[in-house]
Parts: sequence; C-alpha cells; structure tokens
Amino acid sequence: MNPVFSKESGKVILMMGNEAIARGALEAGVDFSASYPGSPSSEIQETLAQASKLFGHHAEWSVNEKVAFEACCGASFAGLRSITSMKQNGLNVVCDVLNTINLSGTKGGVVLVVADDPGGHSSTNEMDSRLHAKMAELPLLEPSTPEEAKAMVKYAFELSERVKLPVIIRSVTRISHARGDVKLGELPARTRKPAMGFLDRFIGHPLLHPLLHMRVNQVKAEFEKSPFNQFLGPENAETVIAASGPSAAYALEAVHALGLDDQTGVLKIGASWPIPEQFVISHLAKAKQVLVFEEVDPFLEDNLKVVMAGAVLNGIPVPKIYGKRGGHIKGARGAGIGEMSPDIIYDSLAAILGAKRHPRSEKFLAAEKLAVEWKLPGREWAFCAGCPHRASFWVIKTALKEDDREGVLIGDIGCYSMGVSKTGYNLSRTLQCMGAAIGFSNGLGNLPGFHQPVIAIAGDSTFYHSCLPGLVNARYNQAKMVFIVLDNSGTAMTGFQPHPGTGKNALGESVEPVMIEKVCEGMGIHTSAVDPLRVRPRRAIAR
Amino acid sequence: MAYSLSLHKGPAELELEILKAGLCAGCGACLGLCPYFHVRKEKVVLFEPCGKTEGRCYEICPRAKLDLEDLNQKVFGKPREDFVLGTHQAIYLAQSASKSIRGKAQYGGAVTGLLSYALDKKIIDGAILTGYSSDYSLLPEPVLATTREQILACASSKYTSAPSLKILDSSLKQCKKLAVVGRGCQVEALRKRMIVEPWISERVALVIGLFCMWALDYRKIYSHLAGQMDVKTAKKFDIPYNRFVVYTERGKKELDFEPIKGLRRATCDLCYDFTSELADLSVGSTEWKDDWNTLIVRTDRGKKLVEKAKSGRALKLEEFPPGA
Ligand SMILES: Cc1cc2nc3c(=O)[nH]c(=O)nc-3n(C[C@H](O)[C@H](O)[C@H](O)COP(=O)(O)OP(=O)(O)OC[C@H]3O[C@@H](n4cnc5c(N)ncnc54)[C@H](O)[C@@H]3O)c2cc1C
Ligand code: SF4
Repeated sequence: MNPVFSKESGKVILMMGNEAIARGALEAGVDFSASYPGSPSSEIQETLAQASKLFGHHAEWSVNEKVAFEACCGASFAGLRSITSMKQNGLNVVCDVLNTINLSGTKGGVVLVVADDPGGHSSTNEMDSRLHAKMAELPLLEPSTPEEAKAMVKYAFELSERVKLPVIIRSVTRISHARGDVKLGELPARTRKPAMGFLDRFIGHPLLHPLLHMRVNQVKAEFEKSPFNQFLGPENAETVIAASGPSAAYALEAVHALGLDDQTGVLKIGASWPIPEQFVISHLAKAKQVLVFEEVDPFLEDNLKVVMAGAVLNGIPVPKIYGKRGGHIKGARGAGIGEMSPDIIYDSLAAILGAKRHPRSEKFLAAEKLAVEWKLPGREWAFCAGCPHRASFWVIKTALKEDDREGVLIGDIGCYSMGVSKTGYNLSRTLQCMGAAIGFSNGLGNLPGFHQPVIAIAGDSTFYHSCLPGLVNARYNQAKMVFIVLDNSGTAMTGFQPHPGTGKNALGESVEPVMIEKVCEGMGIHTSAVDPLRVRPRRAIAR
Repeated sequence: MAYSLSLHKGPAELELEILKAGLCAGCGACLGLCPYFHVRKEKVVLFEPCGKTEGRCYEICPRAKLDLEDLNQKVFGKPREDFVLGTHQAIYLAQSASKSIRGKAQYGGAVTGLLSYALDKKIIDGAILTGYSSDYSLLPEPVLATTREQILACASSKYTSAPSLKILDSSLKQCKKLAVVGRGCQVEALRKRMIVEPWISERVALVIGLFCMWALDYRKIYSHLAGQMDVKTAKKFDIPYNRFVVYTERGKKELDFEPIKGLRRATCDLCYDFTSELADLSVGSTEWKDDWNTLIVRTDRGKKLVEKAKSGRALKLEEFPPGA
C-alpha cells in the first residue's frame, strides 16, 4: 500500500508536497476530487485517484480545470467536501466561475489547490496566481513546507465551511515537488450525506457583493490569529524579513547561516489574503527595515506596503521596505522574475545588511568544481522515442516545404509545444494557452487576401480541454484551415493521464470513449484519421 | 569520395542563391545527389541542410556559375564561335520515317525516332525521358526508358520544366550506354556533372538537346488550364509561334496565348542557350512544316548516329533551309 494512505497516525514519513496535500484532503475526509493534470500539480489528483479505491471518495480527471472546479462546487452544493488541483494556467480557465461563486458562496468545503511554476520549468508562463485570490476576494493560504501544506488543506476545508467560500491554496514547484517529513494525522470515516435543501441556492449576483465583503472580513479576523502567520526571532529586531511560501524556509536558513538569529526577526505569512493588518502592523511598526521574500510577483510586498501606508495615517512609524519593486531583491534575470532561492536571499541580506556569508567547506567547493568541470552535454527538448508526434511533424514539415504557399503551423500546448524547437523543426508559429491554435486560426483562416494555408494543431487531451468552441466557430464562420489533432492516446506531457478518448477513467476503469473523429464529424467537419507513420506527406495538405 | 569542386559552395548557398531567389530551372540535377533535395509539382526544395559547406549540388547547378566558353572547349575541343546556334557541323530538316512515331511525337518525331533506332542498334541501352505522372494531371515525370514501347510512350513535349535529371544516378546504375534527352539547362547540368565526375561521360552514349525558349511553371499553368477546361481530357500541347494549342479527346482547342506566356518560369528569361548548345544533337520545330524537325548536328558521335539512322531508313533528312 502507498504509505501516504497509512492509518498509523503520529508516524512521520517522507512525502512529496503533492502527496502531503492529498493526504491532507484524506485527513479532512474529502468526498469528491476532480482535476485536470498540469505540472507541478498532477500528483495531487493522481494520489487521490489511487486513494479512491481505499477511501471511497469520487475521483476524476475532468476535461479541464473549469469543469473540474465546477464539479467540485456541485459536490459542495450538496454539502460534501471537495478538492481540485491545477497548475497556474489552469486557474485562468477557472477564473470565470471563480468570480461568481465568490458571490453565491458554497456549502460543503471546497479547496482549490493551485501549484505555480516559478521559473516556468514546465509552463508557458510563470504567472503568480495569488492575484486571482485577490481579484476574486477569496481566502489564500501559502504553505512553506510539505508538512504545512497538509495542515493547510485540513484547515482550508474547515474555513471554507465556516465562511461559505472556496479557499485557495497556492503551492509552488518547490513545495509540490519537494519532499519533506510529514506527520500523519487521523483518517476520519466519511459520514456526510449529499443533499440539497430547499434553501440551497447558489446564485451569483452583484447584490451579494456586500455579503462577500462581510465574509472576507470574517476570514481576515481569523487570519489575524492564524498559526500559519508567525513572528520568529527577537521581538524588537530592527531588521525583519517578511516571507511567504518556501521563501520563508529559505529565509530562516539564511538568517541562521549568516549568524543573524539574535538581530533579525522573520515574519512568516502563510495565511496571506486577506492580509491580517493588525498582525502585520504589530510586528513591522518596531522594525527599521523590512526585506520581503516571496515567489514571483511582489504580492506580499505590495500588501505590506498598503497596510503600512494606512498605518502612517494613524501615526505609526513605518520601516523601509526592501523588495522587488525597488529592485533590491532579485535573481539573475531581474526582480520579480524566476524562482526565489536561498542564494538570492543570502545575496540580498549581504547587500542590504552587509552580512557576510560563511565560506563553503573545502569538500563542497571540490565537489562543485568537479561538477562544473564535468560539462555534461546539454540536452535539447525532444519528442520521446516512438512518439507519433515525431512523424506528424515530419509529415507537416514535408508538406509545407513542398507546397509553395508559405503555409503556417499554428501551435498549441502539449508535448507538441516542442514544435517551436528543433525536434519539431521550429515549425510552430504560436505557443500560448490550451486551445489557442484553433482560436487563432479562426482569425487567420478568415482573412481576405491572406493566401497562406493555415494548419492548426492540438493534442488529443487539449482537443477536449478547450478546442470544441473554436472548432464549432470555425465550422460556423467557415474559417479555412486544416485542423490536426495529434493523438498520442493520453495527456502525455503531464504523465499520461487518461482523457475521454482513451476509454479509461482516473481509476483505470474502462469507460465508453468519446471519439475525436466522431465529435468532429458530428459538427459536419470533413474528418479523416491517419497514422502519421504511414501517411504520404504529399497528400497531407489538400491543394 | 572527395570531388574537385571549383565553386566552393554548398546546399545552403544553393537554397539561398538559386532556390529561394526563384532561379531554379527545374532541371533535376541536384535531386538525385542526396535525399535532402525534394521536388513536388516541379518545385525543388532543400529539405534540410546536410551541413556540408561545399557540394556537387551547387557545383553542377546550371543556374550557378556557367562558363559556356569553357564548357564548349571541353565538350567540342574548340572555342565557342557561333553565338546563335553554337558549335555545329550541320543543320537539317529531319523526320522519323515511322508513321506511328510521327503520330505520337511532337513534330517530326526525330527525337523518338533516333532513340528507337539507337536502342535497336544497341548504341544505347536506355534513355532518360519524360512521361506523365499517374498521380497528377499534366505533371511530367522522369522515366528511364529501356524498351521501344517506353520510348514511344514518352513522345511529345511537356511544356513545363520536368526535372528528369533526378533519375540520372539511378539510371547510371542500370545502364552502360545511357541516352539523355533534355532542355538546354539540363544538358548544361549534365555536362557540368561530367566535369566533376568524368566517368559519367563514358557511360552516357548520347545527349539530345531540345530547343527551348522557356518552360511553364507547372502549378501556375495547371490552375490556369483548370479554370478553362477539364485538364484530364488534355492529350498534347503545342506552342506554335505565339499560340497555345491543346489537343483533347474531342479535338483541338486554342487558348489565349498572352496570359499563358506570363506563366513561364522567370528563370527562363535569363537563359541564352535556346538550342541546347552542349548536346550531341539538338532538335526543335521548323517554321515550314509541322511534321518535321530542325536538327542540329554538333558532335562526331551525333553525326555518326544521324548518318546511320538515315541509311538504315529510320530517319529522313532534307536540306536546311528548305529549297536553299
Ligand atoms: C519546355 C519545352 C520548350 C520548347 N520550346 C521550343 C521552342 O521554343 N522552339 C522549338 O523549336 N522547339 C521547342 N521545344 C522542342 C519541341 O517541343 C520538341 O520537343 C522538339 O522539336 C522535338 O520534337 P520531336 O517531334 O522530335 O519530339 P518527340 O519525338 O515527341 O520527342 C520529344 C522528347 O522530349 C522529351 N521531353 C518532353 N518534354 C520534355 C521536357 N519538358 N523536358 C525534357 N524533355 C522533354 C520526351 O521525353 C521525348 O523523348 C520545346 C520543348 C520543351 C520540352
Ligand atoms: S536548376 Fe537544376 S540543379 Fe539548379 S537548383 Fe534547380 S533543379 Fe537543382
């Protein structure tokens, strides 16, 4: 059995952050989980799907993040606890409903975990999804260790039920994919019975905006006393480091390593939105200077500054606040860009406080030198051996080369994103969000005087995720294009999760597949299914 | 194998200076050299640069540097003196003696007749000719003809730039006495190739050049014709002086010439080798009789073949110009 599902409460085991999040949901007695895969979040739902057989909750891979979240809300409407997880791009897909469900409110606890990808290791952007919480005025929690992630999930369910709002937990790659000690808690029996009472109505309407504000204030009051917000170190420290997420852990390490423990305080903010104003003021008013560390955008920094600007009006002294806005805290590529790291924190502390870092040990330096001298050959992006996308791109390349009309390949998101690179012969002209290729092609395919053939691509999973409206539109408005679905029978890039076309569900059970060809034919679109390893390129594009 | 190349350029330059510049004549010479050149509907593309900085592909391209003086010296052993007709020994009006050949040929069937005769007499054992593709209407396709029937099947002119030299290398593997029929650019390419690889001259027994003012762009003429007729019914084309005639199953159809003239390959305007000066024999139409050809005899082996074919009653010759 997966040790993540162990019943031995009190035992400490090493867990991946994503597993800890899933464990948190199990310890909260989750009833329903639905997600769409996306790095670095995928293992959360994979673990919950695996757990479903043991614990009996519903677990599904949904076609996209919006459907997944809405499904979770549905469970909540009936009084059940539900959790969804996604990557930052996925939250944009959910955004629409997020900004009405906040008004209508929910019933059973709903937790939305978003795993951001600072540095964009496996994403087209490194957006900071915390801003969505601010926009939708929803409670936001930011774990700094896998252990804390588990605790926050449990707490989020309770909070969600108290204030009748979905709660957002923002993880990042270095939480989701890091491993840490996690102490197992009790696994309660699930006893909730789904039901919708006569008064269970969930109507999003601007009339309810004041109600939302009331709820936000209720959350704020809770956050003022939240154990996730802590001040560590000497109470009267002149220098305070404010940090959230893994940066808080890095900061504690750096303070210790630089020998600054007795002069530097660390204000760790885990329950970060709405910002607990009084808690912040009480700790920053005594400081002379504050350094803010967090992943990607100056979210915490801005919130602290706004709070302290308000404090000035009450005659409270305000410290100097160093952060990304002023360019004081930055990585190699600039402030607000890329991942935060212990090194950035060391360097900022050294620059601002004049602190000196202890030299590295001889042993470390020797190992480092060896690693550098090793000069491992660089590895290019490449389609996996045997992947049909290799053949597909070759066929498309051949057809475009031999055609004389400068046809353009409009690319999309998935493994075939690599179509922008050498492995796909640099063919793809676009790389944006899921389903964007068919959307862009609706424009390019309907331009008077534009004679270059348009080829839009999408993967099989992307097809279900967000291509259908674009396809209907293309058919309806007669956009001229060849739409190629590159089908490699799974949501491959994120780890081969099943999708509606695979005939398997999240639990590995057989289900009736939703065939891509049938869907297209049903729209009245001329469709043919071909094996790219057999197709003759010259036939690939109809002249 | 290392070749001694003089231009020191390779596929990248061929792509940039010739293919992308619209200078390619579609001779096909580069196509058989390596798998990186592709042709589709007469458009030649470099599929992927092979990484070499110099190569035969650039060296032999008739649209890269072409020194006619030098080539003339190498082919005929003498300087190029006649700048209109090129080096030659005689000019005739010629016609195949066979009625069935004339019935299928473009004009007098001199080309088809001579090839047939040469094959019969084992002077050649195969010929690179141009037939039609079975996949696409009116698209010429290179053919290695090794029987009389195959030679006859290739008779008649395809007025686009059939890249038949594409099959030169594969044909050389099959034949020891190969004949090549081509337009001026193709004969130039062949001669340039022979300089790089002299062994090829020993394996090519006959080079027949066609007169050629210009070739049409296949993709353009195809869509032009498709707009005016059912292209599948077209059997033969002719371009008598400033006219364009299509012979179909149901007879002759004459099309407006001016717009068609505009569909020629731009690169043909740069060519000054109307009579295929570097061939053994050059063949074109005549302005006097539709079922006769103009035949220019250039080399000794060309002369020998013509004389044998005449005495063997395969070829009829008359004085040029008639009645002189
Ligand atoms: C593109 C083109 C333009 C021409 N322009 C002129 C011109 O302006 N003035 C003129 O007098 N003559 C021109 N000719 C030559 C003329 O059309 C006849 O090919 C020539 O007179 C030989 O006639 P024939 O009766 O002996 O031909 P046939 O006995 O019918 O033999 C013709 C031979 O030419 C080969 N052939 C056909 N098409 C091509 C091609 N595209 N490329 C290479 N080989 C081919 C065939 O394989 C066949 O063996 C042109 C030919 C071509 C192909
Ligand atoms: S003219 Fe001939 S050799 Fe030159 S690029 Fe075109 S096909 Fe190749």
